[in-house]
Amino acid sequence: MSKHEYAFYPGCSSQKGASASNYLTSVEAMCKTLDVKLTEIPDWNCCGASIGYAEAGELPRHVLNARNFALSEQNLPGQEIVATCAACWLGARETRERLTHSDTLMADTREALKEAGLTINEMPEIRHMVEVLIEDLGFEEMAKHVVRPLEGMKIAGYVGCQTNRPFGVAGESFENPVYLDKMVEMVGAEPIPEYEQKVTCCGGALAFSEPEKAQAQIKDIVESAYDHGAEMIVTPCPLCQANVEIYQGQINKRYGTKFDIPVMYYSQLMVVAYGGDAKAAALNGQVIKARRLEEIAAKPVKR
Amino acid sequence: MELFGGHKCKDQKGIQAMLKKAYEIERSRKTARIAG
Repeated sequence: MSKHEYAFYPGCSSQKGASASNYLTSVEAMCKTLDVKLTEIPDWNCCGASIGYAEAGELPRHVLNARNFALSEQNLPGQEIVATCAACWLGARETRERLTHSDTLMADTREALKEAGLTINEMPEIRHMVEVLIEDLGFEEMAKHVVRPLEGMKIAGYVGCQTNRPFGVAGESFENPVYLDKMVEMVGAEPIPEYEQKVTCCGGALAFSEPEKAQAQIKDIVESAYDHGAEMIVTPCPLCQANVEIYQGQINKRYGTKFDIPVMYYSQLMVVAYGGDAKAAALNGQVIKARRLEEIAAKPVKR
Repeated sequence: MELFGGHKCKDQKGIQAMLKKAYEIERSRKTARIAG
């Protein structure tokens, strides 16, 4: 039996072949080291992010999240739901808040859920993976497993907005959350606490509909990381990771810049620091290769 | 994201019935609000 067990909501972006499949691979390796057991919610569905907000309406969007809550309650009773995707976490957290505070919305949701043969009796806690790491394990426990410190690397902690606004991580400031900086420090690298773009929005789905505006924001995020001497950016959000990494080529063409900075997940850094190889950390999933991290991952482990 | 084929639920029938009901409820509430 594992020390920490949770119902797991992986979200669509981390599925095989999707943009954040490397996130899931590295989370699995990280959890194995930390003795965290994640049990996938059977037959979970999309949280309704982006498309749900644009077209679906309020109740259908909440009902989609509520279906995942009901399946979790039915199959994994008493377990908190953990999401790795910031958008999934935000959507599920919002649904939890709304259903908890509106009897009408709760009654409507239950009526709709009945059509799928489901119901909700207890509202689950919704946690992001970084909350589990920080609050349930703690930095000291996480640091115990570091056998290959990422010495000499300077990494900008890019939090983005979805894990930060409106709910945020407990104890963190909305303007200057420091948990990613602490995680960077924990894996033996050098953080950039004064990185002023750490909570700027990456543009989200605007990258499709308003690419010029989204790319202007991404340019600021990347430029600031370079200005502070970072050789890598780390994030807890699949959308931030994709937007900030993928569009650097287009930004270079638009602005005449020469950006080429990899954008990683915290879990990938942790897997390498915990002694995992490039495959376990899913470093092959980057559009911009993290050469330095690949070199470190190939080094023998200090035990 | 499921539109792009990244993940597909097994209980499509249940989800469709659930969403249809959710739309119906939402529509009826909107109509009631407009009617005052």
